[in-house]
Amino acid sequence: MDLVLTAIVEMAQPFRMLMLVAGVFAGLVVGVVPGIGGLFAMALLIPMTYNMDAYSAFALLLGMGSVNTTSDTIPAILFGVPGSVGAAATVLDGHAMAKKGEAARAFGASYSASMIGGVFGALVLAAAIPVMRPLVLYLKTPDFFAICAFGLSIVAMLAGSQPLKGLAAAMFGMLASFVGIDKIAGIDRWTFGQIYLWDGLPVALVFLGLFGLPELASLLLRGSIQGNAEKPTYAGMWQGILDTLREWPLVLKCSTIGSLLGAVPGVGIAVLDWIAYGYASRRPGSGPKFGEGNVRGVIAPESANNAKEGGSLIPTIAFGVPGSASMSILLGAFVLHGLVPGPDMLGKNAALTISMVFSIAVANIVGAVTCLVLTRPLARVAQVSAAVLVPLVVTFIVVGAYQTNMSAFDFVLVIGMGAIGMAMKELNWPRSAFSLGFVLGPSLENYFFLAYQISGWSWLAQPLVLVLLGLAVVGVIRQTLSWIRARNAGGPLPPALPDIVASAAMTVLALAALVTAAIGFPFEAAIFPMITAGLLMVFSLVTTVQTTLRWWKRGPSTPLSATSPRTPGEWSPATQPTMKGNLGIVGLCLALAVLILVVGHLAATFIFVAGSIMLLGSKSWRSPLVIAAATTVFVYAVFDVLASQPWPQPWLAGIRQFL
Amino acid sequence: MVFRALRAIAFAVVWAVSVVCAQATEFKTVTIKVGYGPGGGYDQTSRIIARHIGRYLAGNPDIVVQNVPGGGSLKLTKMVLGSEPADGSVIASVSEAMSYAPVLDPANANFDPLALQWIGSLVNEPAYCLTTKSSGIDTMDKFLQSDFLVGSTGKSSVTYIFAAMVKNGLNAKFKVVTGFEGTADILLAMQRGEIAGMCGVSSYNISGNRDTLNLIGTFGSGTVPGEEKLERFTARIQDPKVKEAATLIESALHFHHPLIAPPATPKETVEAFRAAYGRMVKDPAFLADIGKLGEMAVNATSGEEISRLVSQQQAVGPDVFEAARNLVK
Repeated sequence: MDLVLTAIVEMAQPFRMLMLVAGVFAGLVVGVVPGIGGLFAMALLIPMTYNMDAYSAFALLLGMGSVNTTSDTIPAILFGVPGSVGAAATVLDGHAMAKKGEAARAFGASYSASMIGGVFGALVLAAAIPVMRPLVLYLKTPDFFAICAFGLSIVAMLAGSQPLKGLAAAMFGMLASFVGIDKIAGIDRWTFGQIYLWDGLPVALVFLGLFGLPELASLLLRGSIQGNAEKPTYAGMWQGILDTLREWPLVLKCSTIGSLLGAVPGVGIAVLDWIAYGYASRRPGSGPKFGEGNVRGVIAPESANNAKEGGSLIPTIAFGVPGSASMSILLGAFVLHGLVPGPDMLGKNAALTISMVFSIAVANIVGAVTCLVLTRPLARVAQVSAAVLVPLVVTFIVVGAYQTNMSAFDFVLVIGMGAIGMAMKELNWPRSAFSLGFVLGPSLENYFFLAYQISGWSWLAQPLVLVLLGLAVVGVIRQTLSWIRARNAGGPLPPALPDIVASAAMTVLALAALVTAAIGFPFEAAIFPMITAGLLMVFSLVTTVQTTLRWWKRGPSTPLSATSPRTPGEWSPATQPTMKGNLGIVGLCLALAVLILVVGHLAATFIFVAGSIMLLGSKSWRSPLVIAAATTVFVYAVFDVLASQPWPQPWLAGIRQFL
Repeated sequence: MVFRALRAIAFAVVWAVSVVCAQATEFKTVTIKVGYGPGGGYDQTSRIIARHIGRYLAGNPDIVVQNVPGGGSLKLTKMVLGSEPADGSVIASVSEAMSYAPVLDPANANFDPLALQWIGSLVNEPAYCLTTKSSGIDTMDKFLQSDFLVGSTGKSSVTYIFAAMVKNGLNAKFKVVTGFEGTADILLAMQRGEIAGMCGVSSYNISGNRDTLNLIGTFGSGTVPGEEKLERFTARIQDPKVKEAATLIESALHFHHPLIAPPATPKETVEAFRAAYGRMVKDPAFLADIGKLGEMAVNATSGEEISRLVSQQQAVGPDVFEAARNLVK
């Protein structure tokens, strides 16, 4: 108790509270802007803490790290663009709610769930302090494998109305995650001689493209986020908060998922929010279907991803093993301030550890309240014309993507993933299943080989491994039974011909992957990709045959009923020609990418925003220029001042210098 | 009148020329690219260097740090050799193992570590093999003859290279487990009792766990102040060619945490960096900052000395290269 009081007294000093609040505001900005994640921001903030005392330093860093999962829902809900990888699951239902005019309700629900989740995570951390070290030592490498395998079984819940496609999508995601230099044999897999691909496909870019760009295409066609002219009400926000309170068992369960899985190294935020989402989707409750704006689909991932910060501090504090990527950076701050993770943090530095609990809890409350205050103006964005919004969001996606590696490949990847995401969206291949496969693939493979090298096959008989693998199998069997029961339920399906082409192409891709892996990789680097590719090939081949048969029987024109209550999952039949919107978005992204390479990111932002707003049908010429100027200033402030970094020289400047 | 005008013009020209000349050695913004992700030792030391080195460069430039992780800094090294601007605007922090990457992996044969311009390095100290106290393996004889597991990260990392060197060079019985995330991860697996030891770690990596570990032996010729002197693993290698190969691999320990510049960087620019580096590593403010990183003690090696060591590495015969490749398989 004395320690708690000491910690509170230490934290009550004005400078430390100021640092905490400064961290929170920095974290909120970082969360809102797609492309800069908490990881990057943490690396930037650490040098600023050199001259601070440890309490202030951790207040600043944890304040920042705790809340970017609160504000990253803002672009997720409004535009369907995840502000950070942790918001991808929120896109599905949060953005669907915004389209129905419930943006304020989605905000209310997500902020309140974030706040409760974050405080819960802090409490878990506090409760873990006395037992932290034995707890972390109890989990062995095979248990980590079993946890990841259990996580992957959640794919079954995300597979949607055409489960084969769901499973295929998950395998596709896993296959994509194997690109790069492998950890076991150290050889490069499918890098095609590109150094860019050595470290694999950057997860932030994959998620930005996969989720962000397809939603923009439909926004472009709808004309505004909300589609109808109804005024968004402020009352929606309170309704959202009440939703969270009503769903308190879900909030607590998902917070538990977030804080416990957050403590497992290798299970990042991108994994646990899908697991929480998949868990919630098993019981959709009274609202609309999952994927069509069910508030539970917002509450679940949001409570989980804020709870993670407390959880991932557990192994960091107890052993110096980072529970997440941003924790590995935080570890740098420990060292800088002369702190050695381990028993000292629970003994002579325990007051500091408790102050971290305090920082996380307060940061979550301040962050959520700040966001709630901003809800009214933000909800109004739902009515702004798409002609203005689309260019702005494209700018942030493309500039943010370029910021990742400062390479033209960043553009290729984000636009390519966007195109894949659009096809998956149209043809009912669940992007959620792809994401889970993508983020879990490397951990599964790595933990499997570690467990195998350490103890052969005997680890399969360990109790926790048995329990977790058993749960995974039971879950998959239960879900399979329900698919079999529902197999002839009918319901709308995507147009047959493109569907056949896509699944046939996927079969060929899987075959190619299988063959190249078998021939080109040594056994230990080949086995996981081969199993994955083999399964992908089977699933997509069966899908191809099924779809072809259906097309054969019913003729080329598949009846498309408007909406049917029978389709679970994130897909709904397209009601308008979406090809035009998709091509429009890809074209805009390409145009901006080329502009950035030629004239640099600031001039490109100005030209692109002004030009595309005019192109998309602005009547006056003055407002596009004003908006473009404001955007350019904002981009400069975020990407040059806040995140000070060297941008590559644009081509035009290179030519001028040459002359 | 004309004369006066001419004199003014001449004066202006001289002034302009002198300004231009002064600018040639003056730095604007320097980016330190780091071959690893944020948070690790390379990132931290680079960020501290970024804080100090600007003071010693003409023009007091802003120093920015950028992470370019990939392949244990091999990606960045290849970029420095190929595509990075050689005008002093970019320098890089990469692994010292890059100096023999082409030797150990024929796939890298096309890259020439001698072409790199070495600016200086921070640490020159031996690396250890160590075990947990609970494993009961506390002497070099037991270490070489017992059947147990040694943990490592990737196959190109020092944790693997030095473990493999002991295993292959001295016919040790232990098995090397690859795939851990980092040294902290390996230490945790040791505490869980899943594995018993690790190799290739510096003393500052283990400062927090010192009393639960047995130090078995060292690599490299240096000593760590305050530590007892241990036997060198290479001293036990009988075959002269294998011994030469092992010494070759060890030599990189003399320039841990090096900074490099692209091959085409002008000589005077490299000299300016080397001079600045040399003055920085003696600066008490810098030493105080770096001292916060665990127990890291600065023991710098100059760029000239590193270049000499690297050319020594490259000067040995192809049969020694072959032996080195077999050692770290």
